[in-house]
Parts: sequence; C-alpha cells; structure tokens
Amino acid sequence: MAVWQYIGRSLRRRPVSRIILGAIGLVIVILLCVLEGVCFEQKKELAQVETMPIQVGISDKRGEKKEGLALSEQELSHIRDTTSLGACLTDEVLRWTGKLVWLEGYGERPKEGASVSRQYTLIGISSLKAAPELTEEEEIQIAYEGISGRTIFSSITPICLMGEQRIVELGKSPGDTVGAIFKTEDGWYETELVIGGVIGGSGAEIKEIYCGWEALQYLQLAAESRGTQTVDSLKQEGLYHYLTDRYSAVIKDNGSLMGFKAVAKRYYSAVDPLASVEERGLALTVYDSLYQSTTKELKKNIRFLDGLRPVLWVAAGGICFLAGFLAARSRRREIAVIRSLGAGKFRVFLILVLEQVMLALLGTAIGLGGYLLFGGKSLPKVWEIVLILILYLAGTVAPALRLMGDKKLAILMKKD
Amino acid sequence: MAVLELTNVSYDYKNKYQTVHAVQSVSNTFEAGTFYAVIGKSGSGKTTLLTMLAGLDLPTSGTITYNGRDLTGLNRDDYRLRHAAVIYQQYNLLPILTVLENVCFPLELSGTPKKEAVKLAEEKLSAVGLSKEYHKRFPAMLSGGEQQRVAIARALACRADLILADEPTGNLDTENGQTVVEILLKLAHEEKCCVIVVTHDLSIAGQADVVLKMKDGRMEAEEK
Repeated sequence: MAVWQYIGRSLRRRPVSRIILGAIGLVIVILLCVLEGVCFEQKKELAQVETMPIQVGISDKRGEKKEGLALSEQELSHIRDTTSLGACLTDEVLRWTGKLVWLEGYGERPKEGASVSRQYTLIGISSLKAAPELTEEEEIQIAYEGISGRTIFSSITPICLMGEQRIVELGKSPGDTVGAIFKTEDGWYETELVIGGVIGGSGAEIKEIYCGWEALQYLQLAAESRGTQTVDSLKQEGLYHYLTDRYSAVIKDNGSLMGFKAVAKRYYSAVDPLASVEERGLALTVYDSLYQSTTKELKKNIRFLDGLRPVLWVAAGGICFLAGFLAARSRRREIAVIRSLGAGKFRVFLILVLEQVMLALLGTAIGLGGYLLFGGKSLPKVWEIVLILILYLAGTVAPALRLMGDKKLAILMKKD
Repeated sequence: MAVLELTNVSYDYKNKYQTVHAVQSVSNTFEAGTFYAVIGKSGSGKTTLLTMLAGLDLPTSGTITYNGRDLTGLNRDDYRLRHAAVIYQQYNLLPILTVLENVCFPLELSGTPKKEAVKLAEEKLSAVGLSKEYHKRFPAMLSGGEQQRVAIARALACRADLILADEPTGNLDTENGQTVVEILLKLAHEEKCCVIVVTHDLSIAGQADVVLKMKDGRMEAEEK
C-alpha cells in the first residue's frame, strides 16, 4: 500500500483526532494573525501620529502660551553678543526637520484660531558679507521694504526669502545672492543676501524679500556704531516685534521631537508670565501635547503587544511541539505494527511526517482563511508560519524517530 | 533442513537497578511442517524468545539462523515481510484499515500488485472462515475471534514459511480458540509451514507436534 494511500485512509478514518490536531494549528495561526493585526494597526496609527504636524512657535506673547520655553533677557543678550538666537534656531530646525519646513502665520497675521501654512525650502547658509556703504544710488537692486519681519529664517548670514514672482523678475534662483540695500536715517547700506527660500503658493506674488533679523540686527548695530538710528521699521515698531512676531515650523520627524526640544531648551528658558513685556524675551512653544498623549498610549500598547509576542511564540511552539509529539506517541502500537509487518523505517517516517505536514498546512490554510474572512488585514510573516510548522513537525519527528527503533517493536507482545 | 536454528541464545533486559536474564542459553532447531508449542509460566521467557524468532529484537548473545543465515546479517524488515509472520494475542490489526485492507497491507508493502493482493487476501480470509461480508468492516466491528482470524489471514497472505503466534487463543473463547488452533495445525501440516505457538493453554500443547517447556529463561525439556 502506497504511503499516500495510507495517509489518505488515516486522515479519513480518524477525523476527530485529526481535526483536533488541525484545529490546534488553526487556533495558533489565528492567534498569531490577530496579534500581528493588532500590532500592525497600532504601529500604523503610531506612524500616522508621528508624521502629524507639530507646530513649533516662537512668540513674544508668552503669557498666552501655557506651555513653552522662553529665552530670558539675559540669555537673549548673551546670544545677541555671541551668536544669534535665530541662527541657533534655524540650525536646529534644519537639523531636526530636514530641508522642508512649514512656516505658519506668514504674511498677514492670522485671525484668532485661524491657521495659514505655507511651504518653503531652505537652501542653506552662507557667510555674512560686509556691507560697504553704497555710493551710487543706481546700484540699488532691491530695497528692503517695510517692517513685516514676521516670517524670518535667521542665520548669522543674511538669508532672505523671496516671492517666486520676484525671483523670476530678477532672473535668480534659490542659493544665489542678491544685492540689497537698506535705508536708514543716515543713509543707505548695502549688503548681499542669499536667497534662502522661495515663498510659494499665495505668497508667490509677494515682491518683497524678507531677510533674517540678524541682518537687520547687523544693520542696527552698524547704524548704532555710527551714532544713528537703525532702519525706519525698527524705530517704529521695536526690535522684538520685528524679530519674532510669529515664527513657527513643523517638525517633520516627530521621532526627533525630544531631541529638538532638548536642544531648543539650551536657548530658551521658561516664560515668566509675570515679567514685564520687555523682560519676557522670546518664547518657543512646541505644541505637542496631543502628540505626546497619543503616542504614549500607542507606544504602551505596542510595548505590551511586543512583549506578548515572545510569550505567544513560546506557547505556540510548545503547543505545536506537544501536539505533534502526542499525535505521534499515541500511534506507538500502530507504528510498531507497520514496522513488524516489514515496512522500513523510512516508509513509516514518511507516513508520519507527511501526514502531519498535510494537517499542519491544512490547519494553517484554514486559520489564515478564517482570519482573512473575518476582516483580518495583516498576516504573520512567512518565516513565522514556517517556524510554527517546523515546531509542529519537530514534535512529530522526535517521537517518530524514537518509536521507529527495533527495540520498540516489543510493544506488540505486551498484553494489555 | 531446519528453518530456524538457535545456538546458545540469551537475552538480557537491563535497567538502572538490575539485569534480568530473560532467556538463557537456549539452543534448538525448528523444522518446516511442524507445529511447536512453547509453554511455561509467566516470566519464563517464552514471549521474549518469540520476539527474537520474529526478528523484532536480537539476542544479547548467541545466534539465530534462518535457513542457515544469521538473522543479525539479514535485512530484518525483509525477513518479517516475506518469511516470518507473527500472530499476536492482541491481534495488532491496523484500526484504520478494513479487514481486507489489513490483509492486503503487507502484500502491498512487498510490492504485490493491488489486484493480485486483493485476490490473495480474499482467498486467505475465506480460508480462515471470514466471508465477504466481513471484508469491508473495520477491526473494531469484529469479535475477538474474528479479529484473530483476520490476523491469521494476514500472516497467511504473506506466504511466510514461519508462523509465530503469541498466545493466539488467549483472548478467545474455547470454540474460537479451537478454530484458530485448527487453522494453525493445517498451516503446519498442509502448507508445510513451521508454526511456533507460545501458549499457556495445555490443550493447544496437547495438539502440538513438539512441546518446548521454558522455565526461568531456559528451555527445560522437549516433548513429543
């Protein structure tokens, strides 16, 4: 009788025990599927949350923010002396967010509760160049106009943002420098600004260029050194407003959020709402409370599920091994009879193993099918299923090898 | 020529605590066409002896030769498949196979074509008094006597020249027991098989051509 015929008969004529064995495989596979599915959903949700925009705002209206970090006046002056607050921030924003940064609140001040987002691409930072006095008015190419000062990418180099339309008019592209002249009370000063970014979208028609406040600060200091007032705008509206009316960015990689905050904290200290406006300095606010609370819960769930996985694996492996082991062991006498009738070890081994392989595959297929039928989305990895099958078979092979030995044939002589 | 020849055959069971000398220096010859009864008390070593004769185990020392060839050097799977058929007290039929399939099984293992195997199996079942209506039944649907007859038919179907039976009537009533003995006697005397029966039953011993008595692992006496 061929091996396959015997297996066929065995499967047909022992339906209950075979179904139980198959069901064990089925249940395990379903459990793994469910675990995988839940884990997958949680991770997917976490991934979505991790890419949700988190606004980072700088504001001198610190009293309005419940959370945030602020720069003390002392620190601000220190930074002014050594490097620039804006440069620090820009560098960190660049480091933590990559090139793509959203600036919120650009242009006209948004109404209460409104949010306007525009996208800019930061090109890079170049070194500051001297701004020699302009001697010939004809050389003025671009005049810095107005006191918008609202959206500034700062660096120790004068970087400017420019409307697309203006760039086209000038025949420039991001990264190029443009000559700029700044008008002060005592005359005109010329400098070069690197086109750091393009104002796209609805800002494309904007003809002004917006430079970093460091450039303005430089101009201011230059003006002061001459014993004169700084640019008109500064005179009119004050430095703080000029610098940081509203500057916000979205951190692209939320996984780096904590790193960003840690770095930012070096430059900002807690806001003191009781301090006078002049003393308040600048506030950095990372609006991440929703992100933190959501991710905390999700990460907790994922940790739990990840912790559950090895437990389930050990249990699944153990059950599969045991199922195979008991199934083979319960057939001691049958194996001995077949052997005693002259079947070689290999033939008996084939009967046992192939039968278990078929059962395991059948159980796995039904388990997966059932899982998918009931709306399962994520399947276990192939290697996980293979491992389960191997454990299942190992449970069969181990006793099978042992039971096939000639010594075990003496069982046939036992009188129950 | 002796079908089986035993020379100083011993068998020891060992465990952690002791060694049991189940069979000790047994020497004997078994001829074709003879019905042998091996009798003795429980633990006398008769079943162990039969286990070795059937090639289910090898002696600890000594030699067993089948038609002049040492069993140790033989392919014992082949020996059991073609030359030595065993009938057990527990019948040891395969529960998932029908009566007919049980008898066909060793034939198909030995490569007999299915049709031929079925024909031969039907003949042997008929020879042991099991009509066609039994052929499709499973062992669990048969009485002890019927199961034993299937086991005998399976042994016959192998066309083995050596039939070994361990308490073949142990689970049967007197009538069925006698039927089985008659079949075995017929095998020995008509088919010229060497039939060796291990039994407690003195009525079987009384019908045997040769009675071998085992005591404490030794073969004490041979009676005819």
